[in-house]
Formats: sequence, structure tokens, C-alpha cells
Amino acid sequence: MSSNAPNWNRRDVMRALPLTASAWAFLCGSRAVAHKFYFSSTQVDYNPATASFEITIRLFADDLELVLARRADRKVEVDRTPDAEALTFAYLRDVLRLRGPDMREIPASWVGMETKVDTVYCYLEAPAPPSGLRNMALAFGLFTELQRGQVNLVSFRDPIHGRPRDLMFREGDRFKVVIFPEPEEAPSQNP
Amino acid sequence: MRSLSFIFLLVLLLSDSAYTQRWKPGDDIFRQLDEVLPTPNEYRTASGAPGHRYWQQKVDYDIRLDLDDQNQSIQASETITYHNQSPDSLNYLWLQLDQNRFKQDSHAKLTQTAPNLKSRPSYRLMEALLDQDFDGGHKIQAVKDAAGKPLPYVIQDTMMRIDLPKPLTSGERVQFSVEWRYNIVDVKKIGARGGYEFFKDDGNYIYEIAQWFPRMAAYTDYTGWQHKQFLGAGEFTLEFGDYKVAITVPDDHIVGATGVLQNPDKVLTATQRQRLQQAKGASKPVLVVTPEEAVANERNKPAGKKTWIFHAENVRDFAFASSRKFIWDAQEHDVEGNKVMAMSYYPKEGNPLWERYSTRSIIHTLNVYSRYSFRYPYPVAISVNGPVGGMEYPMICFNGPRPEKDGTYSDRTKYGLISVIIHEVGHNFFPMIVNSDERQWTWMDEGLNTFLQYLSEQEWEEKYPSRRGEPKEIVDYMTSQQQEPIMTQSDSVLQLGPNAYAKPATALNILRETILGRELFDFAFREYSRRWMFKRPIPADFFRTMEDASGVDLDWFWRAWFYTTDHVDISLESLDWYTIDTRNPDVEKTRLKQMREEEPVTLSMRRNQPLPKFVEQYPELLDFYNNFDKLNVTPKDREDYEKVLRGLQDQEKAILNSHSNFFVMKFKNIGGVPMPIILDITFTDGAKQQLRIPAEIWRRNRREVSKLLITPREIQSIVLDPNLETADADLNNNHWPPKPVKTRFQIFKEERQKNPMQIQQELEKVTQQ
Ligand SMILES: [Zn+2]
Repeated sequence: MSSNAPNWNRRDVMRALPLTASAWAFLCGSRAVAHKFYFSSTQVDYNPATASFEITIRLFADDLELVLARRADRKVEVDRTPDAEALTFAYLRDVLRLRGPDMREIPASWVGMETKVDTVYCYLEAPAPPSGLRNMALAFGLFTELQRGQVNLVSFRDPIHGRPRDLMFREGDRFKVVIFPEPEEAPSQNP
Repeated sequence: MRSLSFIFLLVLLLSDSAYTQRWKPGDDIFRQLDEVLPTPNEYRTASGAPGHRYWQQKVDYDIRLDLDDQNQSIQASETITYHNQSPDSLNYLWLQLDQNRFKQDSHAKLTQTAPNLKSRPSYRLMEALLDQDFDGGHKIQAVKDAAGKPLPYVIQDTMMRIDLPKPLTSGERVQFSVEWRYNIVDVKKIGARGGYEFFKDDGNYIYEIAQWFPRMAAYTDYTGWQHKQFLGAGEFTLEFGDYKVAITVPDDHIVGATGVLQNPDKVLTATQRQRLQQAKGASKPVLVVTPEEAVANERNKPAGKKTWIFHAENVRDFAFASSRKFIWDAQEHDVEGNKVMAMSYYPKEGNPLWERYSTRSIIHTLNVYSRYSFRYPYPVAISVNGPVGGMEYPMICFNGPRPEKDGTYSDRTKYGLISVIIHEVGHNFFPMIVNSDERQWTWMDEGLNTFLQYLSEQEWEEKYPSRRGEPKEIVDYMTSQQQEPIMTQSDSVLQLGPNAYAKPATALNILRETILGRELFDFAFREYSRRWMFKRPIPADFFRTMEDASGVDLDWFWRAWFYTTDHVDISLESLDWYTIDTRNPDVEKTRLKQMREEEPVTLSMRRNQPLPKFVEQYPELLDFYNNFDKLNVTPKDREDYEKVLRGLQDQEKAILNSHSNFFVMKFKNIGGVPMPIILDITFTDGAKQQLRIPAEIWRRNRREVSKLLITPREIQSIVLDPNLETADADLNNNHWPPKPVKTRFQIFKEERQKNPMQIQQELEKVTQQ
């Protein structure tokens, strides 16, 4: 390298910080009629800023209408029946249960719901202990009374303690504890 | 082993955990795929085309059946002509008896796990559970050779082996006959791909008849006999052939079936025949049986029986529907020169949805699918409304959605109907014509079909609410831990919907839009469809053809999307900025001064500034250093610079004065799936640039790469994957400067309509009820 070779000036730019929290989008299941699958997906986010669990449940509208109609003994349409929201909350309160590290149940409060064609998003919130999702337990028997092989998948996000493993609930499942994976060794550089 | 599916699952789970320990997301993704794919041979070439000695069997059926509307059963007999076009001699033949799935002691039933009896069951469910004496299954009454002599046979659950008196050598054919009967299942009770529906109000039935005749299992070059049992999820693997089917039903029934009606003079009225004639060249569906006529038929008592004869060429299956409730409409449509009769059969309960959308949806599907694959080759295409939610057969499909009793319908029902018709009619292309092995690979027909369904829906109307296809919709499944690779046998997939429909459909959409571009992709996809129409491809044929025809090595893509459960998450880790030192002291020292001035003033500095200073009181204490600024340009600096310049060529001088900015962007592949890096870059002068870097940037380092951008401009911000085209799971690490992304929950909470008090009041009412 000759002394006349150019030199670099290193300039300052704000460094982009790597963020560990993961944004979450929703899964598509199947249209209600074509090769029906019985499936729901739920995201539970621990929000340390508000000390709460933010819960988003994605389910099929026709499954919900079937269950609500049976409970209320009348026809329920999620986008037309006036008290559909209250009926939904009353139902979800029965099937979605959270238990804190002290084994006490934590009641969830209702945030709301929205319907997108054949899919319903339900939003609930629950107070979170400072330990976040650590040692929390969850039971989720959504639509299992319909006995059609329902699978309810729950994913978690905890920006403080890491990402716990997903939990899967099927007929007959009771409380399951949120498990954090063992810390993995740092990924090795590829040669 | 086949029947013990739980062992299979256990092995899968065990090997899965071993797999996750060894495997780090993204490892070895660029390793070539040849070691995984079967070795090419003279039947299947390395280019993914059928080889010069490709073969498949041919099976012709001549069937007569009697549909009993009193007891909901079928009595039938068939003559099967089996052409052994394989190079092998066959000592026995395997047939499929799909109805045996409904026997009380079937593998499907025995391996069902217990339902939850703790919660309140529905009457329908109790009815199904208590229905322990439904006598389901094929009752084989006779199996005879061409001379009428009985042939020995053995039934193994849903499969039947017929032992031949002498081996059937290559190129020979054998003819034999089977007689059987079976009780038709109540679809609303049992949930099946065919059966009957009873209408209490008028006492009539709709029959949607499928999996109804003993039919040949496929014999193939890659797996021999495909006789994995029918357990419910893995659908059908079948041979092509010609069918002649004589369907005897009550004489007031209307029958729709695979194939072309051979005796309209015998079974249709003159008016009906004339209306069918009108449907040729019609610009909208013509009613062959009007709603009024159908309602009148409902009150009918049949006077006797009629036999409808259908003929179908080069199909892999045969299904039909029959009812006195049917309204029937028809419209002939020219599909790239092939005149196809598009027809719908539905009860009054299907209107007003069906008269408006069914036949039109068929026509739309034929148009779009033909453009992306091959011209629809069959003479008819039919959609039937009955008890089955959605199921496909050659030329005919069954679709469930109906409006409310009052004739109103939700957008969910409307789009549900259009989508399911597109989907099921679309199955004519995959797997009815591109005849993949459904029992083995659900994704090969459902994934490809769902992909074309998405394209068709988006061509139906703007912003059609497609459920699958958009990359962002698959993120949730791909980041979940409860999944298998797409390359998993049909009955072992835990969530068939996302695994075999949505994920492959999304992968193909991404391949088309982001990796290959529409021109390369569409050519390759059409090539695959045409190479394999009326033949039986396996996954390697698809993977190889897509590469062969596009000229792009996609091994990494297949490996990442079809053979792993990794997801996409690429992060923009950092941005470093470099410029060239011009050596010019007037430029460089000014720049350094400017940087010094931009240094932040600390709180103490600011507060100390107005304080009286000691040296101000005693100016004699000030010396050289109090006035010296090393960033002032000195004559010596300028002299040195002149000296440097004298030693440089003009070219080198130009480089020093190029005013270029060098930006180094660092990226991490967190999810494991390597994807193109797509960047929207905004500069401080307002200019914008999109940079698209192919996924091969990851080929030497799967985890971390950097990219240099040289520009006279300065960067203000960067967005990674700005058009959401890669299914990137975490958008929080896609921005520079960093920008947190709100969750769906947070967005909703900010915009929600009802306040919690209103909900609380309603809730109290509900709980008191
Ligand atoms: Zn399908």
C-alpha cells in the first residue's frame, strides 16, 4: 500500500440497535367451507410498559357462532347480533384461563373484537406480574366442546425474558406452564 | 406399520427433536438438493420432465348402478379393464374400497382418539357417537374374471387384493368384474367427501356420490402399488381411463355427473333439451330446470326409474349428484377454443347465491387457470350444492355454502361460496389432470391449487378478501413451533390447512413476485403443468422443472421452504458511513471543526459557562495554547497537500475529490430462511431508491452479510422489505433509524369503538340470562 493510497474517514451515524422483540402477524387458516380445519391461533404479549398481557385470539367466525348459539339458545351472528361481543367475552372468560406464579387465576378484561369476513379477532388484556410470562400457566379450551379435533395454538412474546415455546391445546388439555427454552450457545459463524 | 399411524407420529416427534438439536436455522441451506431428490432415470429426467420411457397404467370402467332413494343405498356392478403398461409382471391387483373407512372397525375409526365428554355436546354429535350401528362399507358380492369364474380376493381395511390366476405381463390387459352394494352415509352426521342430505321440510334427499365404486389403486414407477390406507386426510391416488356409467335413479331425479350425457332423448324433456341448446352461445346462465319446476318436483312421487348414461374419457375418477330438488343452469363457454358446458345444480335453499355466482365462478376459474397452466380439456365443468362443504372430482365438484333461510347472506358466505367454487373447479387442473399422488403429498395439489385460487380471486374483483397468498398471512404459522416441513406425508401433517395449502401457495407467490419475477415464473409453471398433464408427477419433477425452465438454481428455496420449518426474519443490524479523506486541509479541517461544534454541550458545561474565570482576571496567564486551534489550516498544511497532489495521477486526484459516500449496511438472518434483501432507501435530499439484492448474497454466510452502497447522497432512512413481500416475521428490526412497529392488539386498542363500560353492562345482562 503506497502512502498515496486513500484513507477512510469514519463518519458517525446513529447505530441501528438490534431489537429482539418480534412483530406479529396473523396466520391464515382455511375458508369456512373448503376442507374445513378446526384451528385457532392466539398471541400473548407481555407488555412491561403497561404491566399487562395483551392477548389476541384469531378464530373462525362460524365456529364462534355455533358455540355462542348453543350457549345462548338462540341464533347469534358475530357481526349482526347486538350483544355478540358480550356473549363472546363471557364465553372466552370460561375457556381462556390464566394462572400466575402464585397459582392464583388472573382474570382477563375485554378490549374488543373485530370481524374480517370469516375470521374474528378477539382482544383481551390481563394484569401481568413483574416476572412477565415466567411461571405463568394457561388453559385454553376454545371450541373443544364441538369435538371436531380443534387445535388451539398459543404463541408468546416476552421482551424481557425471551421467547417462550408455543403451547398447543387440544380436547382434554388442562393448564400448561409457559416454558422458556434453555439458552442456546451463540450461533457459530459459518466457515 | 401403515395402519399404526401413532407409531409413525412418535417416530416423527422423536426424530424432530433430534433434528432441532443438530440443526441451526439456515445451516447449509445452499447445499444442492440432488442428494435429497431421487436419482433421475428413463421414466423421470433430471430436467423434471417425463422420461423417454415414462409409463403409467390405464384403467377403463363400465359401471351400472341403482340408487335406492328409499334406503339410501347403492347396488352396482362394474367391469374393469386393466391395461398393464408398466414394464413389470403383476401377480395381483390392488383395489381401493374407500367406503370401508365408514365401517365400525375401520383403521380410521379405531385410531380416532376419545372425544371430550366433560363439556356439553351437541345433539348432532351425540347422534353421530351413538350411531354405532350404521352399516357402512363396501359389501363385495362377487369378484369374477372375464369368463365369469370367481377370483380370489383379500380385503385389508380400505384395500382389496385380487389374485390373478396367472401373472399379468407387461403390455397385457385383464378384464374382471365386481358386484357390490353399500349404504350411503349421511354427510351432515358423519362428515365425508360424498353422501346424502335429507331435507325435513319437503322429505327429499340430495345425493352427492363419490368414492362409491371399487377402483384400482395406482401402480407407479416410484412406489409400486400406492396402497396406503384411506384414513381421512390423505386423499386419492388414481389412474386415468375411460368410463361408461349407467346411473339408474327415480324418474323425477336430475343427475349431474363426470362426463357427457349419452341419452338426453331418454332422460330429458324436450323443453330441457331445447334450453340446453340455448345455453350454447349464451352470454349468461340459462335455466334448464327453473326454481318453480324444482319446487313442483319436490312434491312429486316418482312413477318409476330412469337410467342416465354418461361417458367420460381420460379421467381419473367418476362422481355424480342426483336429486329431485335440483334447479339446473348451464352456460357454454369458449375456453381458448374448447367449448365447455359450465353447469350448476342446486336446491332452492341455495338461492339467491347460487343462481348468481355458481356458473359464473366456474367460467372465471376455467379462464384464469387455463391461462396459467393449460387449456381446460374436458367438455363440461359442474358445481353442485349439497351437504359436502367442498370437494373435487373430474369435471364435477360439490360445494356447500348457502344463504340464510330468509335469503340474506353475509359477505363471509358470498366470498366463501365464490372461493370454494374457484378452489374445487380449480382442482380439475391439480390433481385431476396433473395427477399427483395425493395420498402421499397433499401440497402437490392443494398448494398449487390454492396458489392459482389466489390469482383467480384477485382477478374476480379488486381487493377480493383472499385468505391465503399474501406473504404476511403465513408468518404466524411459520414462526410457530408446532409444524412439520411441507414435505411430510399427508396423514402425518398436524395442521393440513397452513401446512399443505397456505404455506406452499405463499411460497409460490413469493417465488413468482420476488424471486423469479412473473415472466420467468409463469413460463416455468406453465411448462410444469403441460409436461405433466394426464401424467403423474412427484415433488422432484416439480422442483426440477421450475429450475429447468426458469434457468434459476432454486435448490436453496425448495430446501428452505419445503424441507425445513425455518421462517423468514432478516434484520437490518447497522449502518456505517464512510467518505474518502480528500487530504485537502481546507476541506478536512473544516469538516472536523464542524463535527466538533456539533458535539453536545453537557449540562455542567452549560451551567459553568457564565461563571467568571480566573484567567480572565489575570490575562498574563494566557499563553500560546490558549489561542492555538489544531484545526486551523496552516501554510504548512497547504504545502504538504500540494506535495501530495504533485505525486498523484489525474485519475487518482479525481477519486480523492469524488465526494462519494460509502454506506455499509449489515444484515442478520435470524429466521433461517434466506431471502432477497429488498430496501427502500430515502436520502436527505428527498431522493428515493429501491435496492433488490438476490438471496444468493447469503450463500457464503447464512447468518450475517453486509452490503456496500456508494452514493453522492446521504442516507436519511432505510426500510427493509417495504412491500411486505418476503413473509418477514419481525418488522421491528427492518428500519434504520430503528422504528418500533405496533402490534395488531395495540392498533386495535387505540381505535376500538365500544368502551369497556358498555361491554361490562352488556356482559352483566348476558350473565344474568
Ligand atoms: Zn382442495
